[in-house]
Amino acid sequence: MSDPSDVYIRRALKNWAARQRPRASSRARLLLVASAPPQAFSLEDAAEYRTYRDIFKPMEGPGDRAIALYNLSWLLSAQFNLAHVGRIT
Amino acid sequence: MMLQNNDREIILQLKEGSLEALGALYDNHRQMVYRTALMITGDNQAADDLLQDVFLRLFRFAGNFDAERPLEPWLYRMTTNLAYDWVKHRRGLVSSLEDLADWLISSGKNTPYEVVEQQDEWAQVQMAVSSLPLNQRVVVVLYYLNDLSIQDVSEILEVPVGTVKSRLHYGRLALKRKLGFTQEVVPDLSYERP
Repeated sequence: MSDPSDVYIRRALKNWAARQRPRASSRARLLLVASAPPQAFSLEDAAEYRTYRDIFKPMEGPGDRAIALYNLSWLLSAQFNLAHVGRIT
Repeated sequence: MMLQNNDREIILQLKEGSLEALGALYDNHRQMVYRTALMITGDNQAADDLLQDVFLRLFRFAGNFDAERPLEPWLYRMTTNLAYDWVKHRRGLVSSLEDLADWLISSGKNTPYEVVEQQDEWAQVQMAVSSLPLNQRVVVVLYYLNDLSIQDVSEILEVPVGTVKSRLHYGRLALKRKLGFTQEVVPDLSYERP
């Protein structure tokens, strides 16, 4: 199953990975959360990652849904039109 | 996979709720978890969040652990499962909006050729891996980055060995093409092997 290119792919990935490090504050953050009582932090909450949650704020009522649909339609319209302009230019 | 000598003692302490033990396991395995998560998600913030989540789950479920068994397969399985979930949640509208934002920011500034020239070697590696289908990406990361055998990858992902081989084959073909390891180049460079 090995391939002559394996050594190069492995080296490229490892060289890239060697430059990547977690934030220095991650350890302290982990220990702080872990030291809280179990009921204070649910792992289901942890599964909703911040980046995702930041983009999709929870909607609270019909008005919020209407605004969300309006914003979505505007964005899709902009995407379509700008993509069209991009192809022309 | 070998059981790291000191993990057994630390896991025993972890089962008793020791935060010091959690910190020690974090120190031993954080790079592996973070880099695996980062290469699968392609997102630093998500990789940081996943790193927290994996070790919090380890801490909360330590009571169910068998200290005689190696910890790494569990860490790999949890990291890949959570990274899978993250990528699936993020797909669709979010990625299309991000593409739109990227396009708006970059349009009018650089031609595609200039953009390619600006991307350094590391960005190319990350882009090449990120462009793989998720199933292939996970296998490639576990096999190449973490030096796991095909059998180990099969057990961690709970898929047949043949499936792992197939995903690895197609992932490798795509990476060779995207990273420029063509048939003509590879034999000429083979003397560089350590």
